[in-house]
Amino acid sequence: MTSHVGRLYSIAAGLFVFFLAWVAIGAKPWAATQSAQDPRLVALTQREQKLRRESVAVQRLVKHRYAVYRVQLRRRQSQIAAAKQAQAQAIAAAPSVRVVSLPPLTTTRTS
Amino acid sequence: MIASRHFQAMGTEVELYVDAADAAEALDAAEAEFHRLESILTRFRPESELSRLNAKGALEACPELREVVGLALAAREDTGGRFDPTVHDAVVSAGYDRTFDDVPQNGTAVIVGARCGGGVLLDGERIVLDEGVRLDLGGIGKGYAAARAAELLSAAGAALVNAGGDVAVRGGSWPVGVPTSGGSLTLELNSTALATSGRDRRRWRRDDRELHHLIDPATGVPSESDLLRLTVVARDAVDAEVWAKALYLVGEHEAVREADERGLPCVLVTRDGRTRLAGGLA
Repeated sequence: MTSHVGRLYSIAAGLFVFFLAWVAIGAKPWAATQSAQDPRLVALTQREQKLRRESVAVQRLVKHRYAVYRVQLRRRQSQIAAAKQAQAQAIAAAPSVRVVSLPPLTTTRTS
Repeated sequence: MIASRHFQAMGTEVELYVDAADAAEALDAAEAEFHRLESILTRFRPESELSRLNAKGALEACPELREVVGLALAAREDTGGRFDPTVHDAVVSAGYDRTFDDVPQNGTAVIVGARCGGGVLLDGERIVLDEGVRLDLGGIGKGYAAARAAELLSAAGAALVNAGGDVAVRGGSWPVGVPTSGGSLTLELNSTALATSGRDRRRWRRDDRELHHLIDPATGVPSESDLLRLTVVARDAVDAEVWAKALYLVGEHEAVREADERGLPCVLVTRDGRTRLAGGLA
């Protein structure tokens, strides 16, 4: 009976040690030490951060330029519309005249 | 019913026509406007605003003088200098130095021409002329007055004004005769205007040479165009007056080309006795 209980305790202790070792190994304490010290990873991280900053700046610039472009486009579109309207008015206002066979009411002459 | 009135103003005979039963008030207003504008724009009265501007070289001018000078400067720009209000000294040099009725038909004189194209500045209410520059607004002034009179008459009904050949129409359809080489043709005008420029009326002789009032600003002497006269239909009487002169100066072939290009209906009579239609007129 005693040996039976002892065996169970031994198995439980063994399982506990096994899982403890598993957790310890799964944490990879050596990897953190290595990456913190690897200059290539540091450079890559810095490079990534720099690219992110540049990307934000570029997006901001593009957004600003697009806003300016939209304003200029609206202005140009209104200019084109105004020119079309003026042209239509000019066509409508073209001199209305035709040769007829009626007797004239009055006659032009050299002024 | 068409009411009419004829009177003398701006050195020519003016005819007013209005399609209205009671048009006396409108006719009075239109006639008064002609005389009022003449008193401002004539170069033959020393007390006119134009004469005072020409004498002093600068003047605080009334709105009408500023507007006509502005129109004349715009016309100089539009026509590439063929219409130019600074021809005053050239016209005087050619012998047209007094009202046309008083200009001697024959005489002796040396025609030297005069420089045209001098500077004219419109500065707010002030008009400033360059040294030696004087303005002649005779032709454009008549067109301006015809347009103003037609506008006043149109308050009573459809109207037509004929100021010595400068015709302005407001409302309605009006048959207007245009002299050709062999007679005349009739044009029906609708809310538009017409003017005729030529060397067949305001002309005189000096040293056996025939002279006329159409000065070519490029030379400063009367034009040697191969046209006898040219009639143009345009949107308003000022435009018609300007383009009648500008097209006259360039001669038959160029005038036909430009009239077609600009869509300016016109009737051309050449000095060798031919009549041509251009600018879409057929």
